Amino acid sequence: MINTTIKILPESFLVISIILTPILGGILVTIFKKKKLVEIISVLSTTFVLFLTFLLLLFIIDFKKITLFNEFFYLDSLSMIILLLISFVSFVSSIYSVNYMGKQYRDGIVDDKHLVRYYQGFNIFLFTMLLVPIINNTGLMWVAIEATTLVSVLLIMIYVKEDAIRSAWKYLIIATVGLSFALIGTVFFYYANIHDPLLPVQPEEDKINWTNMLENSKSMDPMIVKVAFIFIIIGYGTKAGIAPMHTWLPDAHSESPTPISAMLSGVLLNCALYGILRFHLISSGSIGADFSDNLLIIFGLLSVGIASFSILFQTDMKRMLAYSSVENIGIVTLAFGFGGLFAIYGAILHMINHAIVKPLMFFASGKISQKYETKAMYKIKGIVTIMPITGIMFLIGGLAIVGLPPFNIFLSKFMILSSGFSSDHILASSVLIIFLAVIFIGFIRNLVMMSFGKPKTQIKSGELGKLSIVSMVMLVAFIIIFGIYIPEPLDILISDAVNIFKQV
Amino acid sequence: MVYNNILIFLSGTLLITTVILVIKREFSEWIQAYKYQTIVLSIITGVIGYITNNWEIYLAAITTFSLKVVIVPKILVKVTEKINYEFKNETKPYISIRMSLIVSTILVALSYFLTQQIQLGEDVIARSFLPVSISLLLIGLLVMIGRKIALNQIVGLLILENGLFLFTLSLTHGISLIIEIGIFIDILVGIVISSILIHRIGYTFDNIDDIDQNRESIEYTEEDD
Amino acid sequence: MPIETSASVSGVLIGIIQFLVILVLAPLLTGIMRKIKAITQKRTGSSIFQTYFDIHKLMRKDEVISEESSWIFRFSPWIIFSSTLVVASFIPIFVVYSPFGLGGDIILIIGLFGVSRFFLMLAGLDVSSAFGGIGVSREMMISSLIEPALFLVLFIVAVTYGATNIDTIVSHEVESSILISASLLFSFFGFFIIVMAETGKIPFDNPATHLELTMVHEAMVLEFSGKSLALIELSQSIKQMLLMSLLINLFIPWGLSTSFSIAEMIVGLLVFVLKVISLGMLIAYIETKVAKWRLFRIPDLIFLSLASGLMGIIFLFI
Repeated sequence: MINTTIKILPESFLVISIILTPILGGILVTIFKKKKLVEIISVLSTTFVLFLTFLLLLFIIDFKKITLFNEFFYLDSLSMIILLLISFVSFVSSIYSVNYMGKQYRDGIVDDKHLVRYYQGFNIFLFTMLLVPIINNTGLMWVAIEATTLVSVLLIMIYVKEDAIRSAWKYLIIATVGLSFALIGTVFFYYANIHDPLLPVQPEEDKINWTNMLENSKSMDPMIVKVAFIFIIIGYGTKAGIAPMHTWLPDAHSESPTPISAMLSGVLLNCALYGILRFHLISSGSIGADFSDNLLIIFGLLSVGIASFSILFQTDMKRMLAYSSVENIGIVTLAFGFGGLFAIYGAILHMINHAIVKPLMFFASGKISQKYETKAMYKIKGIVTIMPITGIMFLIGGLAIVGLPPFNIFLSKFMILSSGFSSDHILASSVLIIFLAVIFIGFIRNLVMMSFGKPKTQIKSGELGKLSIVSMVMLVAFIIIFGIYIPEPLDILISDAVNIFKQV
Repeated sequence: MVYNNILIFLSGTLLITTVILVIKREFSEWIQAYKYQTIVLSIITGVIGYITNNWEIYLAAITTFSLKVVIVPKILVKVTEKINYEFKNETKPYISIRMSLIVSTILVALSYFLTQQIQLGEDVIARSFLPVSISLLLIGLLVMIGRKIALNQIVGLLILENGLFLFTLSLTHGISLIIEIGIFIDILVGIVISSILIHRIGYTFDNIDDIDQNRESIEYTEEDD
Repeated sequence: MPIETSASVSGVLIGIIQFLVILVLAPLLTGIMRKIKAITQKRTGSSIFQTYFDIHKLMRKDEVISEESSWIFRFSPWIIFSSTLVVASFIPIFVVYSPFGLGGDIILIIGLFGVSRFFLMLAGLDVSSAFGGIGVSREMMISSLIEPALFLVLFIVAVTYGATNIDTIVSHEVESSILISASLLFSFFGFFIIVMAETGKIPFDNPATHLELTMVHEAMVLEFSGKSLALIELSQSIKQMLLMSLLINLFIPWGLSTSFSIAEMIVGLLVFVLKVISLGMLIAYIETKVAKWRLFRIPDLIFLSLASGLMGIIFLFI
């Protein structure tokens, strides 16, 4: 399937250009401050990144992994999946931003300066996120994840509203504290790598690389590895939205601008989870999979549980979606904890599916809240009559997210549940089913109430913005396609990624 | 070893400066105490660099000094100039200042206890400074949780970061300079952003609860002992 | 270090000389500290011998005694003075040893200071004046926190050197100091704060002003006059000197003479004078830099010394 012309491009060029494009985009945005231009620049940059990522995808499918610049960059199938998700979600978000932020601009909620800042931040955010899956050096990976926190705080702060500032502050503090824990964990892993009871400690440059740690995992001191992994899961778990460290998430994701919420929920959480997974691999190599698996299951179950009961009582649309993100990340974590090929395939598939459905939901709710000028769910009724296309897509997204067939999430949830029941984790799986049922009830009730019925106040009917519809349609397409059939390249990619976990 | 005495003296001094930090209620007092703590920290870094004969650590010491003793306090003072005095003084913290002082000493004991569990062997540096760094981390957390005023939560964050720095230094004798610089830049940008946030927060409120709850206004009341 | 036993005449003589040195130098120390404070504040200030003149003047004056007071008021100056003198007899100044050393014990020192404080407080209450009441209640608040801190701090010293007897401690100590042991460092820090509190320095107390807002010690002794006041002033000077010499000799004992050779003792005396004056300068400098703290914030500082002591204890067991 490899086009011979594409083979001419060496991978290093691809990787470098993937990283440089958003930087270039950011610089260009700063130079040209006009509204139309910055929008076009950002859309172009995300399109280009997506294109390059596809090319890289072809490479990975062939070669399974890429190592560049003396092990500085390391890409395997797992990294590729995350990379793909980042570029795709940012692509649809940038298209959506044009309409959404355009309307905010016309309504006077954001002014020129803020708009430019938004697009600057968007590009830089993209850049920092792209760094995470490709850097081999665990210390620099931490720096990249911390950088994503900082940039996303700036983006949440775009609105000068009090609630936005408050949630940005909460997010900053909790995420920074959490990431400090993650750094401690990273340093502990590094220490385990270089620690030799007989020799004095000498810092060595490559021992902080992930590949190196994986090689040496058998010779690491088990006690240190255990402590280190606990720190990692608490630290990066804070960023990934795993309970009980998730408290910043509902506020931050609901108060930020909608396209940013989509990126935060869809991709950033996955990036942080990626960090946990890398160390999960090392820990399993060192002391066997049981320890980290059990931790993942406990935290995952806790997240799903807390999220499910919180969803029941939500009145704010975006908050409900944010809690749903917590729930889904919990499911993915749980699935990784189950272990076994089938569960891990399901977990990765769920990461992908969630990253497609959640942005769709956020986009639809963004349009709805702009139209109805409120986020409270009890005030919104009759979406299907007022905005038919958005309403239908909102309905599809909502049904997909609770796991109804024939949509994609049903497939991944089914895989996870069945592997849970067939392995030893019957108790966990049963509890999971109960939580999923609770979520189903909570979501469907609100969904149906909002979509149908007569609208309360007189609102002009009609859609807002064609471009945003385009992005939403793309997402819906994938939801339906992936519900029925997983295209072969993707299948190969995921299977390769599962193979990485084989020893787990 | 001769080093031993100096190291113990330095770790004791660092702990004293930390305890003084915990006691301060006012933001301006606190910045002064933070400067002292960071000065001691830079001296410790320099000593570690001398012992391990690693020029990168010297560089890190100088960077720490210039960044955190000179630049960060200046930035903080400048950004918080305009904030109302009410939001800078801690009158009703969640954990009273005195209680947090006692708890800090318990945390110090705890961190020393925990460090005994890890076998560090002959490594003098790790043996003296690792427990101190862990106690800095824990005390930083305590300060963050215990204070109501958002501004003082930055206090806890900076103590946490100091502890983190010492932690990586003592356990692994320095990670590569690039990573250290990356961490420095992260923290610096983080401070700048949090000061900007606080600048805006300062105009509206001073404590963070869930968005749905009502805000309470701060009154400058006499504390009931 | 061969120290001659108390049975020898020279030993007793040295002890008495040390005792007299304390008595004579204490007011001078007070005067010097006051002068330094004035200089840093760009005033001329009173002469360093002012305290002598004050005491001399007070001795000649009549006493005015409130009708409401009882025998406590009349006797407490004497009790305070005598207990302070007892402590003075066994604190080493320039020689490691004092003839009454066998009775000298850290716990005894704390107890004796406690006795004098107790009677001072009783006398303050005895006159049934408002100022007395204020002073006593504030003093009680501060001292109830200081006592445990003091115990902790001195306990650390005792455990480090394995004895509570001042003589034994100091003779072991001449070889060591705060650099050796971290717990001694914490103990030093805690004790320094306590010394500032006990001797009524800013930020704890401002005895120079007779304002209700700022007095703690002064308020208690406001009613005294004439000979009683002279005795009390003298005791406070002596107490200050004793505390400072404890601070110096327990934690920075280099230069203490360890035998009875005249040369060594003179060196010891000079070194001691030097150290005391530098300490005095340090305290005066701190006083000028800091403002008096609000009354309800003062326990914060004393808690600081308590915490320092606690940490010192932790370090003892490492």
